[in-house]
Amino acid sequence: MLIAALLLGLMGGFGLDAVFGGITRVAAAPLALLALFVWSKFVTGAASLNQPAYACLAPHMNRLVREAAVLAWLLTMLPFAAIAYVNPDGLSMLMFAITGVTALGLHRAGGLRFLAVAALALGAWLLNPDLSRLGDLPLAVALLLSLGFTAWALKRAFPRGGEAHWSMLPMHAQAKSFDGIVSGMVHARSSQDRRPVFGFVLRRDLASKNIRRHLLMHVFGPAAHWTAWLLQFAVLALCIALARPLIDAFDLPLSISRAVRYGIMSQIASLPFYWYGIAVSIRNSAAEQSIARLAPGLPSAAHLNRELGRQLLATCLLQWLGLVVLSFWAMWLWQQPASSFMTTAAFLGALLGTAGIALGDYSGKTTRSVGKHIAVGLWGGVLALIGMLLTGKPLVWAVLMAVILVFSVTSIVTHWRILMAAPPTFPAGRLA
Amino acid sequence: MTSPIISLSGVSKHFGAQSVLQALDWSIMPGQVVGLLGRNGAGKSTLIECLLGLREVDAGSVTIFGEDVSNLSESARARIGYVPQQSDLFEWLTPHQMLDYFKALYPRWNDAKVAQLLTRWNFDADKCGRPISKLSGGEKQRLSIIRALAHDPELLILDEPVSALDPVGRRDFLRELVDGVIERNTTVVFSTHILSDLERVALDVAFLKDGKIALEGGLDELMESARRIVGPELLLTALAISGEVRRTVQRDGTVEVIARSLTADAMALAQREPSVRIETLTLEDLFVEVTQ
Repeated sequence: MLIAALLLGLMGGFGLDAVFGGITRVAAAPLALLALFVWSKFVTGAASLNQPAYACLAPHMNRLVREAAVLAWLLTMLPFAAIAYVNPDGLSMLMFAITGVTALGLHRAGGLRFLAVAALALGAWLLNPDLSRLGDLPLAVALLLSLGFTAWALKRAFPRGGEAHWSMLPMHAQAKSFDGIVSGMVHARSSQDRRPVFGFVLRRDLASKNIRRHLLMHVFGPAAHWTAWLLQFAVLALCIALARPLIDAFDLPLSISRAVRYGIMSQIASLPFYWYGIAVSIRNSAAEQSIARLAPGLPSAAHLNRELGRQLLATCLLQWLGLVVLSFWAMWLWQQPASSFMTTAAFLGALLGTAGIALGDYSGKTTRSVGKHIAVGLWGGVLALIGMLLTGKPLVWAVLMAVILVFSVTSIVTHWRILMAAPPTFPAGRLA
Repeated sequence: MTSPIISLSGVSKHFGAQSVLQALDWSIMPGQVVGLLGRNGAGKSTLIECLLGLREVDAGSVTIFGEDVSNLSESARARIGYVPQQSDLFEWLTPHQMLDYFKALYPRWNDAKVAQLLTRWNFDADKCGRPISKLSGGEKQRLSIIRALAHDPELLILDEPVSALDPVGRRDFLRELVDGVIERNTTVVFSTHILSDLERVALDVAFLKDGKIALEGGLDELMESARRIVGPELLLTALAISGEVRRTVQRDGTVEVIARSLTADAMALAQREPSVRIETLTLEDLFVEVTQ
């Protein structure tokens, strides 16, 4: 990464900007991913080392960890700085990198919530998305804010004992595995969001006549329940409904509409992770499932997988349908061209196939490839891109859409059959 | 003739190459209160999970109330109470929500008992409205016990139920177990490492060793009759003792025999030979000797 950064810097130095500008654009994404990976690995390790007892009692340890973190962060930022130097558009990216990379890495240390930081970066960008020079005041202010935030976040992520430090330990444990990170993100979000509606929904489910159907999903905790994403969808729907009238009424910058679109896109893109979060919740609630398996009001071992499969599929499909409605509603309000509708439909269709991630054999081994399902989604994305290139040809799009839907439905049916053929799900992981 | 509530026949369970239960046979009759003992890793929790149908067995069969545990009927499940070893359960709910949740799942629910236990075990309104994740380990375990007792089960299975309780909590739990559960002729199986608790509650004990029930019997009977016979190898080698549990030869040639009861031959030998002595055993001695 360091060598790549130096090379890019040298290219800029020799005045090869025009020639290599394109290369830096192409190199930016993999470099960003690599930087994220290295930085988050470092932070996870450093946070594990900086345990409250060691941080307090081992001489100089806390200071050394912080210094090492600053050094590692500077090294991580080098490639982005090089890109910013070569590429005039790179300054915005540098600012994003500073906040985004830092935030993601520090989230793994358990010190921060990613969402708040992303909002900071997005907010700064929304001020003026066309700015590309450091001399422009809003960008300079945003850059300084980012740096200030980084300094504060580094200090916060590696505390020296105290209550806040102890409360970070469960998050440290979660950050050590992919499952833990997904589970932590979904749980953190759902536990914050669902409190207002959870009590009401549980009371309603308890009073329901069809207890088997309504109480089964409560065994896995909040992340697997449909209330986990209800509030986010409600907020998104409100934003979609209000954005256009507000912009028109108060003459607000049109870039606000981008925020709404990014909100929808982030929800769509996070669908497989939500569904993976459900799978993680099922695997992590084996002890609760032992009690539930013996409870007479829940389905017997012979009927458990079928009822569970129904509930899981209904949860996933409901969420997917909600996003379909929100996406098309927003596009219709913003008068998007037909090509946007087609691309979005293709992408949503491809992501539907990843719902299989929540189905399958839970009784046995716990490894479950999220990569496989995301690859399915990406495959759909590629098809969607091809479809977009061929816009104006509805027949081609229709064929692509049909292929995507067949693939998605086949994926769901395959996973459904695996679940039906598997031993009773409860308790999960017992045959591993 | 009364049929057993729990019956395990030739039960084997392996985890990879490790054999945990080996052709285990065990029956528990209605009204029995059995303490299941064994060293760490002996397989007590696995045995409990297998007998409840929470784990598939590799060989053999398990029945509860005469039904195959792999697919218990609703009515059979309604008669079972279970306190697992792990007490941090349903942490996203409050105690009230968790109890309401299970109340909805059981056909019979003793509200008065739940209210009484909540009061006696210091679950005030504030604590009952707090998420379970915010309770202490002991409070979570007490809540788990309340949940298991709330539907007045006929069969109560407890897997180390007092491990997180302080002495006061343990005393309260044992009192409830004796007064509220055992007196009602409930069948109880519980595993524990705290032998003094077991002595206060259990009428029968079963020792799990090498995947089998190595020794089983009435606690009082075992305490009265089990003995350790120590003497020179020369004298004890020829001595055959019925109910012999374990025989070890020490480096100095001394032989130790743990016997479930003494035979007339052994008593005569001890009277005749001063180098042979017979020692009584405490439950702790018995635990060490049987599970070693």
